[in-house]
Amino acid sequence: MQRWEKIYIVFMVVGMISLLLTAGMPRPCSAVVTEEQMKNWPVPCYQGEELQKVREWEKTWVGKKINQDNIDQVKEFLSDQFYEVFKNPQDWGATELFFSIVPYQQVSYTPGVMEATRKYAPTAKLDPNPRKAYWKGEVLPNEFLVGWDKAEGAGIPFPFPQSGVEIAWNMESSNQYGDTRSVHRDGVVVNPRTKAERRAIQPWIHDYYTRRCDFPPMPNKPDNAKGLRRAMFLEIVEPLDVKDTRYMELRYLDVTKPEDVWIWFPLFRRIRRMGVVYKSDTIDGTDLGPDDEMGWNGHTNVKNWNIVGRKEMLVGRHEDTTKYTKEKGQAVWNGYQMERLNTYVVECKWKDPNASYSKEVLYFDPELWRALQKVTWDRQGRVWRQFFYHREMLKTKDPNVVISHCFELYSMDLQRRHGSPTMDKMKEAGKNIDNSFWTIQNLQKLGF
Amino acid sequence: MYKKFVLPIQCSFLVVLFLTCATAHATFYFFDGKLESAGKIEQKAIIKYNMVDWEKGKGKYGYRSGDGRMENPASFKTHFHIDANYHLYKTDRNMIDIYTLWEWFYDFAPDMRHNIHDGMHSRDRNRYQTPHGQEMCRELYINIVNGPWTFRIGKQMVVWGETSLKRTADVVNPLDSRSHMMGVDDWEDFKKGLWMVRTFYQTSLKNDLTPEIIWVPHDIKVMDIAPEGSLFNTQYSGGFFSQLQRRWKYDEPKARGVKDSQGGIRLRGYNWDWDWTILWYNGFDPAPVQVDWGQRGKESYKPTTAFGWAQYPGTMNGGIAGINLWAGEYNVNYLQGDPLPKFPTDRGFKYYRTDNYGATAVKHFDNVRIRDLYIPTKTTARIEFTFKEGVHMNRIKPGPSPPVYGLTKKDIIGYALELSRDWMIPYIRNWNGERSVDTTLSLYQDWIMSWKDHHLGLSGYDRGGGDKYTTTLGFSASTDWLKQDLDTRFNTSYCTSGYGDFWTQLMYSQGDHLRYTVLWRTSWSNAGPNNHKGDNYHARWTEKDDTIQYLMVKLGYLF
Repeated sequence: MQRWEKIYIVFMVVGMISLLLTAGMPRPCSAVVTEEQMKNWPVPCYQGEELQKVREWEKTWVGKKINQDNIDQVKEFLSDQFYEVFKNPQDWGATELFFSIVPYQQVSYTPGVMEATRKYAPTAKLDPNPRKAYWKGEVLPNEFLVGWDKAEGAGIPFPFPQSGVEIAWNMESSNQYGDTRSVHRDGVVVNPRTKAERRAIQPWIHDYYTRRCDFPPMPNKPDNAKGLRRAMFLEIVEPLDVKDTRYMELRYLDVTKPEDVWIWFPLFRRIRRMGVVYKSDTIDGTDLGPDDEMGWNGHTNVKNWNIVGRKEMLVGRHEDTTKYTKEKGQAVWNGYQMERLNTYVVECKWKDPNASYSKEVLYFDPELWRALQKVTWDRQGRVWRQFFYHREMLKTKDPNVVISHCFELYSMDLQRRHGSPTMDKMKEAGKNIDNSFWTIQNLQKLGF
Repeated sequence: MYKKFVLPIQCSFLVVLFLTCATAHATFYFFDGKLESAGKIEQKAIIKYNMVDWEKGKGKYGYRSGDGRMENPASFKTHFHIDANYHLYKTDRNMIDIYTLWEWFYDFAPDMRHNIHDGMHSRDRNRYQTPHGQEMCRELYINIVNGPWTFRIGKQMVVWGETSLKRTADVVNPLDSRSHMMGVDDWEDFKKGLWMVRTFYQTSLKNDLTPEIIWVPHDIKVMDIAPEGSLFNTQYSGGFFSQLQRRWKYDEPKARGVKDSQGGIRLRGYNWDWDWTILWYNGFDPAPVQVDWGQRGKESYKPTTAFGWAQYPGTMNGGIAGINLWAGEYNVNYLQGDPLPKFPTDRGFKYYRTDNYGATAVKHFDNVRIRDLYIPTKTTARIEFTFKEGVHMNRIKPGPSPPVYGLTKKDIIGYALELSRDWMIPYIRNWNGERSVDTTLSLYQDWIMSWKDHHLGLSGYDRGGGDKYTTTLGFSASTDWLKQDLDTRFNTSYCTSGYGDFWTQLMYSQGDHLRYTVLWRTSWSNAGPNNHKGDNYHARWTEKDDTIQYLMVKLGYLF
């Protein structure tokens, strides 16, 4: 055998072995879900011994009313900001702020999300290539969900997320349940110092064009010429200064195209086209801007997402809103029913250094991949705002689906001591809205 | 006498206002929510300051209008505004609503200050202080939606423009500027509703193309200018202006019939990320031109006073006849305290139609990239363009008191550009809870085409002698504080025709209902309606000290 033949054979053998070995290894940009994992999915937050421990703990605490006198005993299950608020009710216009503890219950996905996740999650992966986007910082390698811009896939793309950005994609991808939702928001904006309240009534509609799982048309709405991911409509009934203002927001699949916002102003009866920057401003005296809805309401890759750990938390997932109470001038609801959950703590930062928030921490539900609480920091690094995204279980009609509805987008300003207790009561889910609704012509038609 | 009832009324109003604010609910619903109604009550006081002599009614030889003159409070007005929407029928594709908007106001200032009272003609004063009849109903229409079709039938205000500095493409409704300040109040406060049929059809084309047709079959309304002796017009001319305006308003329009319908078409679409419209509207100019300047010869106007007859042969020989003759006769007799001549019986004014063509376009520019350089623009651009074909205008002679001597038709083109951007200004954002400062930079220009003489158009194209074109620049900024309880606004504008203004406003919102507003305005000018400068080519349209400076305090209650 010639020498060069020996070298050739050695190279070939090493090459083949390397090929066989690496073929089975997950690449950074590939899906990390195995069939074995999917068989056992969805995974409850607690099982086995962990669940036993939680049940033991619950024997002591379930049904107990927690207020400023005994909150120290459950402090380890609260964020520092939540604790400070309930420990000092006088700062928030109340003599007592209280909540109760309820047992942990697993929350199931809807049948549609289950089916879509089983179908699409094994092939879900992040794009190893960077891409252009409208925001500063653009999209870096391994940040963008492959197929997103082509409206491919549905359900939870990363049922077993390994990174913050995968959790963020899970939040963005699953349509917040309901595919199309019509909601009546009613609440007040409270200044606890003066006890002054301003009413805020803002019915709104969310209509997801892609990744629909439960309500037809599925998985995508047809004739999506504009390439919409989600359309939103909001009408302001109160405060009266801006009564009849109508807000329409369109988010596109194309990341080079910023969200469009149009507002019909009754004051001068004119449709105003606003920039995407408008979404960062708070809505009519509340502490909630369009960007803060559900934890984050925008393109996933506008921010960098990092998992900083897990934290056992008390969070609201099976709330009974009839138990909510509030005195006039009180900036926070009483009567939350909180259950224990081992949340994912995800820190996110805007890629644009000029953003209003220097840092945000979101507490994610590991069963639904929804943000349940959020705390934000201002540009000086001081804690600024706190948000609760509490949920209730609702049964929809036709089809009959149990969904986890986020009925509370509670926001509070911790620096200026200001809060906006509101409730978003579901009016209708799954209704098919004609594409012509999402035009400025319709906005004009709805005005006067 | 007036004070006896004015003060109790005001006090009662304030007491009721404060008592109700604790108990009232925002927005009223009736009939299971089918009828919803909201409104506001406002009490407004305006204090003018730095009033110059002519503003106070003082001429060379004393007060021109007897004892009539402007005093403070220049306005003390109670304003009531209510709208209602009745949802008659609603399904997924069909809807029938009835919408109406009413307003009533009363300005107590002429009752509180007899000098203001005496400075206005009784007929003007009566209509200035409070609206009459149909004026109270600003809108009343039925809105019928049937699939892609929308029909709105009734009295309506139409907004076709995108910019706010000037009415470039927004041409449908005439304005009532008796009680509002241009540049401060919204155009919609000025608009006079017209009875019309308005139809939209929303196509299912990819660019959302929507044609709109407006037909105003009969309703002809004209622009109302602030009457002599009122808050925004203290040019005391002894009723001369009042006489003219009465003719503009009642003489010619009353003679019009059904055949004089107005109408237009607008197309709205969305292409290449631009929202755009193109429009055409054929309607009457909002103000008339003079059609009797002496060309009718001796039949035009014959004097009715001794002075007039004495001067008649000379004025006729000098080519001064018609309404010019009447004007001279009126003013001299007025200054001498003699009986005033009657207004010419022949029609002196006429409203002409104009074809208005326009276009608007809006786009948001989030950023601009030059290679790797990322420049955040975050700016919304609004552009308007107008072309008015053959606008009728009077020719005026240069001179100290220019008489009208002819009529001409001129094309006008104009455009407006607004750039709006929300800024996060470091110092301010630290104090107002990261609220943006919304700024708008405006530019407006218009040209009278083929201009070679002095043209006086009463319908808004007035400019200084020699101004073939005008350029207006404006800047506004607004932000809010204290969790949006305190709203602050700044606005300034300058027109090359010789005037500018600055105003700032603070509005504090207390709870759901109470609103407190303070507004300060100052303006400057280098020309004026009392323009008697010799060189009219270089003189401006308003006089140097033609300023309207005031402080407004307003208490509002929303319900």
